[in-house]
Amino acid sequence: MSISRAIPLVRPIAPRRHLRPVESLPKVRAARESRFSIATQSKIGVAKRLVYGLIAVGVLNLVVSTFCNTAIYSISSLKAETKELATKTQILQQQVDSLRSPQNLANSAKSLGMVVNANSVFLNISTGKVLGAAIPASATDSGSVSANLIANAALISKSNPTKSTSPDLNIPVTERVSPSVKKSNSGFAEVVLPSSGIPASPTH
Amino acid sequence: MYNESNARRQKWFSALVVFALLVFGVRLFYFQVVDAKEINKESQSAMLVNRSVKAVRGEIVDSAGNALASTVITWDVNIDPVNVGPVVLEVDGQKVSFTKEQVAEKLAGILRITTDSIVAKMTGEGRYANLKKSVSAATYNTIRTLDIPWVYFDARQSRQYSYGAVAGNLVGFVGSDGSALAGLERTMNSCLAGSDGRESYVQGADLIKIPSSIQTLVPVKDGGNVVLTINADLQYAAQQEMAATVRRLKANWASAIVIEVKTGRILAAAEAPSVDPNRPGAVTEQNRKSRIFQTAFEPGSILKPIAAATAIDVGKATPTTQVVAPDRLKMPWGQYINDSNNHPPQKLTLTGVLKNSSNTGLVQIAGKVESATRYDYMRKFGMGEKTGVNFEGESSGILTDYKTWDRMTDKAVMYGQGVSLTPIQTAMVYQAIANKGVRLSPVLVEGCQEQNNLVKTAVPAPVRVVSEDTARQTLDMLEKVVELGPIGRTARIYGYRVGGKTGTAQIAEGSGYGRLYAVSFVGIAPVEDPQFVVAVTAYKSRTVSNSLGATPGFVAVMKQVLRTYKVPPSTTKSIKLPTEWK
Repeated sequence: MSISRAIPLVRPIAPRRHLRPVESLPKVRAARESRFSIATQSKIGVAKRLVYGLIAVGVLNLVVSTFCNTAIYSISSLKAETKELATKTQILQQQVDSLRSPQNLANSAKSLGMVVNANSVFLNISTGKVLGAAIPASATDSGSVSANLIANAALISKSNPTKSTSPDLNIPVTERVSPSVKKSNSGFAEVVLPSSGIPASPTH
Repeated sequence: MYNESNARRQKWFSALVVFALLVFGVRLFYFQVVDAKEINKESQSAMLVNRSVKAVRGEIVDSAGNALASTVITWDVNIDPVNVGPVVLEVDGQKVSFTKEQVAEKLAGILRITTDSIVAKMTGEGRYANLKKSVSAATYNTIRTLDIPWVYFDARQSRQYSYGAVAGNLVGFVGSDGSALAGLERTMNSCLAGSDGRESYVQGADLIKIPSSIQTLVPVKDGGNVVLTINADLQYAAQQEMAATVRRLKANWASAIVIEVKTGRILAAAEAPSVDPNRPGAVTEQNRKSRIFQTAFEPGSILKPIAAATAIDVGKATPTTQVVAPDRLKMPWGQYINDSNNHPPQKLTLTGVLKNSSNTGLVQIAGKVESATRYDYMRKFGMGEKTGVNFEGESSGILTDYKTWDRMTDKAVMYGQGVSLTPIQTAMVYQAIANKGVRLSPVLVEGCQEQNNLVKTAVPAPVRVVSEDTARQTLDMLEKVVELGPIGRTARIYGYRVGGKTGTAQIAEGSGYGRLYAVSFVGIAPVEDPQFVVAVTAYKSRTVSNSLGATPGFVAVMKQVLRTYKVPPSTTKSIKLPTEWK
């Protein structure tokens, strides 16, 4: 067996095709439909997603819009409330301004029988020396000035000091309460509370 | 068969959806991009509001931050005459029907106007009739709760002066339209006013503002606060005292100024009568201005220490320089200079001249100084020019050039005639003596505060007027006026060393002088370390014709100052200075 035999010199002729029986139509169609169906379904899926997306955006828009509208009315209502409160604040502030005006204070002080003590006395803390003479105030010592002489049309509220004339009558009677918590040594200086006084500062 | 038609339908449906989307997309693009501007413009034109945003006018506050002037909201109460009719109101929980006349009566009671005036405005075809302008928040609330459908309100900014007439002449006032008309309201308007802004927004059919549509076209800038050097409590006390002084003396007016010596700050500038800026129309025009800065008059003997200080500073005199002071001194040209009272010739030192307030003695000693030199010193003491306090309408006083002085004026200026000063100028003359010879510019406005940033007022540079030694010697002489002077001693304050000078000035009328006087006292305390100058003047006193009319006011105000600023009593004594010689 020579090598020439082994390798043919001419191209071998393709084997003759044989006629085959045509496959039945439904099969072809089914295959074709199957291919078509895959493509179509894929497109429909995209469209569906698009539509759903759009619907979702629409719904979202609607929800946001509703919230916005609610918020707008809420803001508007809060603004109205703010305005209302601002008006009330203004009324109260004007009352406070009136009550703290020097005109009102002067009249109140006078009605309480208070006079200016023109004789201030100073204590020099470092030397313990008293400067000035401690002379009691008298009605004549407060100069020629008596009641308020200065106009104030903004004075809308006036103190009524006569309501609290006698301090004895208005001091609330405090009940003596025994401490429910045991004293603990906190390390801080104790604030001594005299029976009828304000707390004394522990500082020196 | 079924699958095929189904698929076809799906295909068509998909195509239809895509087509519809395309159409919508294109249309959307057209609306939102191509025609967006036009459509926006068209749709918003009906709902778009373009309005001015009013800047809130700043406050005027005293040195402690108390608001002397502030901005509040007030309301104009209006009615809609076309819709006026009976109203159902709730009374004690019951619905009660009221006729329009009854409603008018109710409104009249709240607004404090006549029922007739309201009824008259209820008729007519108009949609607007104002019942009252600028009612308070309390009144507004009262009417609003009535819920009358044909009553409506217009809010506006108004000025409120909580302290009333306290510092009213300084603070000034604004008009009903908010324009600054007088005082610091006007002078400091650039700080107070701010600038209005502008915004646009879309509002719904129910007039609700759509938040996302708000556009700030011009940002609003609220006004700053004007911070004063005034202590409102002290100012009140001084005004009270001046009001009492005016009553006691039946004077035209009285003023008291308190100056902090080392800073030139005006702690009080009190006047009586004063204006309540809440109702400026309640007083005359004369009483609306600040005489302290705007009225100049011949101060009289108050200026004698200036002539004395000048003579000392140029070396022509000392506190012990001797002179014989007659009650009438004949001038070489034949005219006489008189003292205020008849007396035999007195052997006085310069200190004694001031103590007795002798015109004849002063003219002889201070007259040794040349006119030009005296004029220069007077200028250095601040006469004839504005103080630099920057108060609108401030007078510079009158000090004519010495070259224009006639022979009598040349002498008269030494005892405070022929020259006019405002009360603030007089006070600052004494501030210079108290401040070791250095005159400061008075400061009334600390600065303009904008968002916690205080822009301080520019102050002119200090002026060295006399030497420290001269100032000290002058102060020692002034102390003797209070210690020993016949009237001066009524200005003593127990426990404190006080120096000062009396002044009883004739008031020019026509070509001569009238019979009423401007009585004054300017004092410094405590002398060992001068801290305060108090200058009191009563103009045209009718019951007391000398400084006895002014010293009680001085004492009361100075006591209040010393108490307010907790100045301890003096611990040293005055130096010995002879007032007479043998």
